[in-house]
Amino acid sequence: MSTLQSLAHFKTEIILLIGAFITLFSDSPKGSRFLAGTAALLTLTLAGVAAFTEASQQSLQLFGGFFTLDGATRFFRFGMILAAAASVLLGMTRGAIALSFFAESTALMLFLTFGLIVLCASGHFLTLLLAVEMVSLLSYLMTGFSPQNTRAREAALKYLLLGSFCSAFMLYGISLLFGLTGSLDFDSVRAAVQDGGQRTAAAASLLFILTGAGFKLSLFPFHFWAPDVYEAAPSPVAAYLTVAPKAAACAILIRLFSEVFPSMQTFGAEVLQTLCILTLLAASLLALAQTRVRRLIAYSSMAQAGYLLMGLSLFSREGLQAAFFYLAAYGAANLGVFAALTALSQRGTQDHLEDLTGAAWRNPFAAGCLTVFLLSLAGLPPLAGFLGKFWIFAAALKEGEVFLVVTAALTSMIGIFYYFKILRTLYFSDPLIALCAAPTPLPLRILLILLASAVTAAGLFPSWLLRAAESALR
Amino acid sequence: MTLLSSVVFFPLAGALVLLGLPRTLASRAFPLAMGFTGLTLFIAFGILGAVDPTQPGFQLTEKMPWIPEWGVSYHLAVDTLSLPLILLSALLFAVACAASSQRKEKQKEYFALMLILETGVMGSFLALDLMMFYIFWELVLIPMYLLIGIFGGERKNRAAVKFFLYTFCGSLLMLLAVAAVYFLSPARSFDLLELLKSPLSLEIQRMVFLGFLAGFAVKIPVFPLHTWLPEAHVEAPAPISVLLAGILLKMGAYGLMRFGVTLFPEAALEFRPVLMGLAVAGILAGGFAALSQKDLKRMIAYSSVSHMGFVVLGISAGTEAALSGAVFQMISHGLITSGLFLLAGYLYERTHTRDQDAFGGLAAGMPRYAGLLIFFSMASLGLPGLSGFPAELLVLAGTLERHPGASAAAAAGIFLSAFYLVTMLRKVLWGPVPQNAPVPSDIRPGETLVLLPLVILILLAGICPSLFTGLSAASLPPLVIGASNG
Amino acid sequence: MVTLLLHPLSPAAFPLAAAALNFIFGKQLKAKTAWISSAASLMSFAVSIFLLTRTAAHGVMQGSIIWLEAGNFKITSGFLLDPLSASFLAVVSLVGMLIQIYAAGSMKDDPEFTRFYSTLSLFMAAMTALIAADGLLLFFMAWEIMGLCSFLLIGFWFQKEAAAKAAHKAFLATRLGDLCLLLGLLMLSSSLGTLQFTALSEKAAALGASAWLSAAALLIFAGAAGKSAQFPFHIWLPDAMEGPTPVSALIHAATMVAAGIYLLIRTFPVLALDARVLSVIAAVGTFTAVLTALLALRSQEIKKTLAFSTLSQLGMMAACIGFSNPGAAFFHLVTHAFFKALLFMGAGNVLHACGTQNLGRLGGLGRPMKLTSGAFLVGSLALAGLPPLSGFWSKEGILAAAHGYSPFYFGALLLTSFLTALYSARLYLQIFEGSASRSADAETARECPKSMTIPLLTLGVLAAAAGIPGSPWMGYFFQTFIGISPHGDPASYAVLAGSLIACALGLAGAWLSAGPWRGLGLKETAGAGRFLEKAGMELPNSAARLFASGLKTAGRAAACTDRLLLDGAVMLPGVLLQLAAAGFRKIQSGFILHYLLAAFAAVIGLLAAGMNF
Repeated sequence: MSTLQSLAHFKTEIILLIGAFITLFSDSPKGSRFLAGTAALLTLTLAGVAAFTEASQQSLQLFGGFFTLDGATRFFRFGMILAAAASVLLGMTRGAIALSFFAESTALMLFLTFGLIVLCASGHFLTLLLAVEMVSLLSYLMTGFSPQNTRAREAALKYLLLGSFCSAFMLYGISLLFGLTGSLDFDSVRAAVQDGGQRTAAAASLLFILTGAGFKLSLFPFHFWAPDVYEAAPSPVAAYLTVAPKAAACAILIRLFSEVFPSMQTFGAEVLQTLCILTLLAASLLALAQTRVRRLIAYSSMAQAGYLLMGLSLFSREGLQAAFFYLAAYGAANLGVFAALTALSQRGTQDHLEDLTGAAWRNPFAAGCLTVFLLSLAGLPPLAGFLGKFWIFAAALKEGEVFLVVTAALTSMIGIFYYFKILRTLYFSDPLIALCAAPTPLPLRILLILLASAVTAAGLFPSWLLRAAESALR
Repeated sequence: MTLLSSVVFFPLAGALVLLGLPRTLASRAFPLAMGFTGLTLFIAFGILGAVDPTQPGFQLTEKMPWIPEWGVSYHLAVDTLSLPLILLSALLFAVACAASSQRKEKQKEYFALMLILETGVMGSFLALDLMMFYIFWELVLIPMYLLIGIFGGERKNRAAVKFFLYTFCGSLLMLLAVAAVYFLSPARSFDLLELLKSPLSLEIQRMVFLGFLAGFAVKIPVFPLHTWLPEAHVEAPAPISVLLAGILLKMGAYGLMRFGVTLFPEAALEFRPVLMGLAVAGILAGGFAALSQKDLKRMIAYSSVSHMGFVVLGISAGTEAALSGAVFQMISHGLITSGLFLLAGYLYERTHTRDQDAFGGLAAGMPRYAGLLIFFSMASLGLPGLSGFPAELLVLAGTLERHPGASAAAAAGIFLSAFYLVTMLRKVLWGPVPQNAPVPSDIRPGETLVLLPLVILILLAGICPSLFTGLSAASLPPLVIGASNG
Repeated sequence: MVTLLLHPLSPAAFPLAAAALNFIFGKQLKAKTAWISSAASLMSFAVSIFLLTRTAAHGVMQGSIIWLEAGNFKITSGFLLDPLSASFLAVVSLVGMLIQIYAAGSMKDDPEFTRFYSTLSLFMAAMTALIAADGLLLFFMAWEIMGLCSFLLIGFWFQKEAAAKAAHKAFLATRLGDLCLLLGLLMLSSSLGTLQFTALSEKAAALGASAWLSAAALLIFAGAAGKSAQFPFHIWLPDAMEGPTPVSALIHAATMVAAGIYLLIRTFPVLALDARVLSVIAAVGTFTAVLTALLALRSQEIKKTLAFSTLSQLGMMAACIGFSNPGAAFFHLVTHAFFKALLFMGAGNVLHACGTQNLGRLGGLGRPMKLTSGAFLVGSLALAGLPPLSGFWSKEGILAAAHGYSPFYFGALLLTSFLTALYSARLYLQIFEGSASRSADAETARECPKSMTIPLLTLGVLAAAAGIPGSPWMGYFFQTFIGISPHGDPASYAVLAGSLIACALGLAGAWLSAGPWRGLGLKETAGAGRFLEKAGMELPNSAARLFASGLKTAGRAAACTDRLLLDGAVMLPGVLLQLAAAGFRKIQSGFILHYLLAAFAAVIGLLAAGMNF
């Protein structure tokens, strides 16, 4: 389709860009968060409405094949916007982000959302590369930007170095592919690889590209940045970074293996499953010995990425559907955890477990929501996490991956242990020093209610989420 | 008729109301909780009225599609196997609630968690859809974990985590088995009735039955997997022990009967000798371990392991008499152990110690307490005229036909229970009063009133047991292992 | 209403009502509880007399309901009124009534008066229900409730450590026996399909002997041995004397211990299937009889002596059943109930009057306590078997059965009769004859109040006359009325002469040892006596203690395997994981170079793995 016609379908992204610029310049001198926050939320709602009303159901190739708008993109696009909205809402609460930095970070988040949507919808290796670079740079910037926080700068530097290292490999992989097939368009590359001429070279390039995705999903050998970044970044940024980039990485993996390397799915499955098992075991062990709350959450989201990958690596219809469902449940739960932690935290992002002792009796509402999110992450009924995990296990069993399922079951047993370490500190003892019961600010209270009810509703009446996941596969 | 749904979700509504209660009205938590548990008991009796005990099939069925894409349906039904358990649970929740009237701090959370627990229990007894059963089965874990953890004794953390990890690992294996059943059985659905129509091949049955058995065995508890029970009981407050021993253990046995034996008859038949062996081992190990316990509650916990061994023996012996004995024993054990735990709790409230040797000659100062303790101990060791005797008689008779050795070993188990209970009575109630022993006051009328329903039911079940066996008899034949499931 | 009142189970209903009344309104009733219980037992005695006459006229009365039914397992329970149960009902309710009246006097100043009477009435209810039971089920249920009452009554003065221990030992010993009985009962019901006594005999005869039935019969005998304190279960009865004297008189002499023999009589058709079972019963019975008779000689307390004497008489009854003559055993059971209750009441009076029952510090009470000594004399002579008292006739029946069975057993039982005569006469002489100088409290002894002596005298009359209905003078009317087994060869003079000589020798020996040869031969027999004591009592007692400590060590073993092995096995992976996690944590070194190296190594690893694709 020509650029002009495709612009008609590009409305959500355009709204996002314009909104981002507006929020950037709406940094009010008085220092209130209200102006920038409402601007961002307005853009996001408009973009959400546009995405929702974008009628056409069939998949389109916009901008001459650079941007494929199919079911998956619509699903991820809507997911990204929701996640961004949640993070902005979280940012609006006092203490979540330094006031002076609030407007810039919200604007950057909107740009990041735009970049991620383009990444999910890339139909051409160049768009893929550009989107990955844009997303990476924005995340390094947002992690390290907060003014007087030295730990954040150190984490951002590590993030930058490791990130550029991995995307360098990805770039090399793509160039190798270009050398082999002479083109960077997904369809033509598939045609070239299909005839199986240079299988090993194509496999090598696939591996290089996988390192980029592995870095984004914080899989085992490439996860080292995750704990430092999630601990140092301000809450809304950290919340958004644990959810959105992982979703985008999943989208890319699905697209690569369904559109570019369908013939090498068995090889891809083997690689991904080994990575998945390594990630699950490593994440569980690391989380087990962890006493700092934020780092614990980092490792838990690493383990959740492992379960996501488990669903993806099956490449079966149930597997993908279960993975989409699990992604939605995980996204809501993880955002919720960060929101609840901001409400309960004593020392900002450096909380040790001891700081949360008896937090449930100080702030029962926030602690209750945190319990719901943790139980969903742990995969306990009647919450969404359980159905997602059950469905992934069932799909894996159907494909006969018994060893994978057994390890996943073992790691979820260990998971219980570290999730309940948090519950134990919350509930089992009374608060150490008689702290004043800090009431949760209104925006945070609304966010918590929304997310908690989303997680429980998806757990009890999952049909609507299932239909959404179904549409993502078309 | 939404009688079943109301008995399942009414406590949940109560829990939400309690949680919503503002902190200033916290003292109203107890009367509210009593109201909700009492009403649930009333509804349970409503169900008793509405069910015709002579008819073997499922009654009062409520079925709605829940997750059509996966073939999961909201399917509640009651038959004469789950009816007695529903009544027992409703009663014990009311009794436990009444017994915790003295709780002063965190009442709101305490009673809310108890009501959520009741919803989980009622749901798992009534659910006929595997997925729904599993969800209610797991729903029970979190409130019990929090109840033990928040309101427990000194080493409550370890006990709570151990309780949760044991049961969760067991039910995770069950989760895999449920997933396997869903995919491998031709009837693409979780509903028990559909699954029964298309039996699985033996190899699949064998593997999946083990998965289910793991989940149920941890909960019952069957012999090697029982070490979490004493710790959980010692740390949990008395009313919570009543719920744990009185009802939660029965969920495992009920699950084994409802899903384990019916879905995998051949595997169950093949597995029966092992199950009987484990049951007898449980009876003897539980009895011997109880013998050497200094802590009163730990002894009662081990006696529960021994008594639940009878239930497993009854189920695995697989004759109709043994099965009816197993159901009878579940009810009788629920009533008796609740009484024993409450009495142990009263003594702990007064003397803050559970060590049997610290007491002595209590009968002099506490005649009412002594009478009740003797009554419940005699019921526990199977004195005729009380509910323990017909239960053990049926299980012994049923097992005798199948395997006389097991029956003799079970009888030895009964002697063991007599040995440690009478020794406890002698140490605690009789003998001279040691000098520095605490002099506790006798139990108040309020506390005796809580025990009254248990006493009356134990006597009733002991004197004319045909009332209770008649109630559960109709739906037992298909549950018999090795019966040609016509 | 009247027919309901005269129902065979109504003798059990009255004491049950009295027990409930006393238990609930104990505080308010105080002293009146004694009259309620006694009235109840009077009512049950009257009804049982009426029932006795009715059965004599109309014969057997039976009725039962289905108590428990599951699948093919069906158990019924109901009542059976035949001459055997009617007469035993009358005897037990009579003795019970007399003892309850007697107890009113002797327990008057005890603070726990109401608890005593409610438990006693419950016991009477259980005993009468047991007798009227039509099958082994109701029998077993009443049997165990009696065990409970004996536990509560032995431990009545629970502050005393000795009483608490005795009750504990008694309950567990009988409980062990009861479980054997339960198993035997279930084996019978599974093979014969019924537990009713009448149907039992027909089905057993039809089915014929089998290993299963012999095993069931032996288990039933073990149950009876538990309750009737046969060897090796006899260790609990002497300690049971810790209970109040009326309890010893009623439970541990007349009724409960006799229930075991009554069980053997009722299940005799099943026992008789296999001769080996009968020989076991005969052997155990005779051994118990001889051993405990010797032990009775040694004991220095009145109640202990009487306890050993009861053991000995029970041994003889069991042996008589072993000689397959349950009729004679039952006749001796009846007469024994009378004179043993009388002797215990006499001991109670002596204890009540001068506060001690140690024979060394008693003597010369004949003068101050005329009535008691007279009744005690009749009782001890009846026990000794002096004609024409009741003991002679019933013991002569047993000796006849033994004579018919085998000369060895006849000789053993003759020795037992001689020893019985010896210790019973010596007992009387030591308490009531001789000089009163030996103990201070013998002087202050006065005769007990009326309410205690009247029951004593009535029992004295009964002890004397109870033998007549079973004697040849009335043509063995009692045996024919019971109709279980016809009397042995009445006219065998050897048996008659043997029992007369044994009794005479015993009395003479007692007179000599109490009179002129007082200290003679004490030293020589002391050594043998101590050995006997050790073999008879210490050995089984230590065996029981060993068994109990064995259970405790097994318990400790089970508990620590639980704690270490099972718990450890489950907790071990958790601990290992913690260690692994602590070690694995080090890879998060914080140096970016390490991270980059790890990422690079991963890529190379993937490539190497991927190359063979």
